[in-house]
Amino acid sequence: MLVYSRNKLTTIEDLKDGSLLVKVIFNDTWFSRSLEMTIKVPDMEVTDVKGEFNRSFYEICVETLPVIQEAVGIRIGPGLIKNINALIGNRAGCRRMADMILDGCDQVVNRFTFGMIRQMKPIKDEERPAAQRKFLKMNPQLIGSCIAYAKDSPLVKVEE
Amino acid sequence: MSALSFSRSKLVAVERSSENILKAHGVLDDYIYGMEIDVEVNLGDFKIITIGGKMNRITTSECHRALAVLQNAVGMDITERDFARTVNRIIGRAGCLHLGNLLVECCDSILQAAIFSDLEKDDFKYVELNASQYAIEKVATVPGLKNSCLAYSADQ
Repeated sequence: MLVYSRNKLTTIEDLKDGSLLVKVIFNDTWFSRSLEMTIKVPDMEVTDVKGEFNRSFYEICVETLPVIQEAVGIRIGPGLIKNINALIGNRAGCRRMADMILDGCDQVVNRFTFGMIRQMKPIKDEERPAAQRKFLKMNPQLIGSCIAYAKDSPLVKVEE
Repeated sequence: MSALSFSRSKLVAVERSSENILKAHGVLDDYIYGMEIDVEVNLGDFKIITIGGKMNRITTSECHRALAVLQNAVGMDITERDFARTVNRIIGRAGCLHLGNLLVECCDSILQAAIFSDLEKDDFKYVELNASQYAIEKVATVPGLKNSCLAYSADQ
């Protein structure tokens, strides 16, 4: 028998003006929250954020909603986690809302990676090393980011 | 009309393996990756005692090697202030960022289950409780909870 369940869904929509609409819906045994953010591209800047508590064990949680406006103006890039945790996931704010903002930003990054990975899918095995070389050249931040792209990984050695 | 350009869902279910052990089963599915984690935490010291994973959809021939790296999480205290950052380093960067992300979600779910475990014993009759008093009691017994947010702030 379950004692707790959690469901978190993050979606990204491309808007007509080129910006991205990020929606994060969180539902667990005790809380239900939703968040919407707009990300300006290519600046990768949060231009708008809205949050809602639909169900909360602690009534006081709803008072943290104004704090999430601190995310407006922040860019998805170095220092993001530190900034969001300091501004929103603090004693006057909501750690869960901060997590949802960070999850949304993470999926914005994955949305761009997805496009490139999809382009590589039909590439034949014999052409894959060259394609991998090109992929890493376009995404140098991936080197050292995980075991597959560690400096001693065969995928990265292709690059050298 | 706009279509989705990316989507990620994470589902975590927590059950009681024994009186003092909670077990989480987490599933992550997005447009790129599909993976699962099973992790058990001892509520006596909040340390990870067992962990295992499965990769259902990956992008490179090397990704599967990250599953072995998951064992580095055994012994970690999930209430540590820098738990998420440490997981990102020793499971994420040393293994797979997405498995690391799912592990943080699973351990956070176990912590939430532990915080509200008193209500589980009471058939979830939380509506009859004084929530503010409940928060005060939990701050005193769950490490790392004090001042972590407005609900658990010392000012409340």
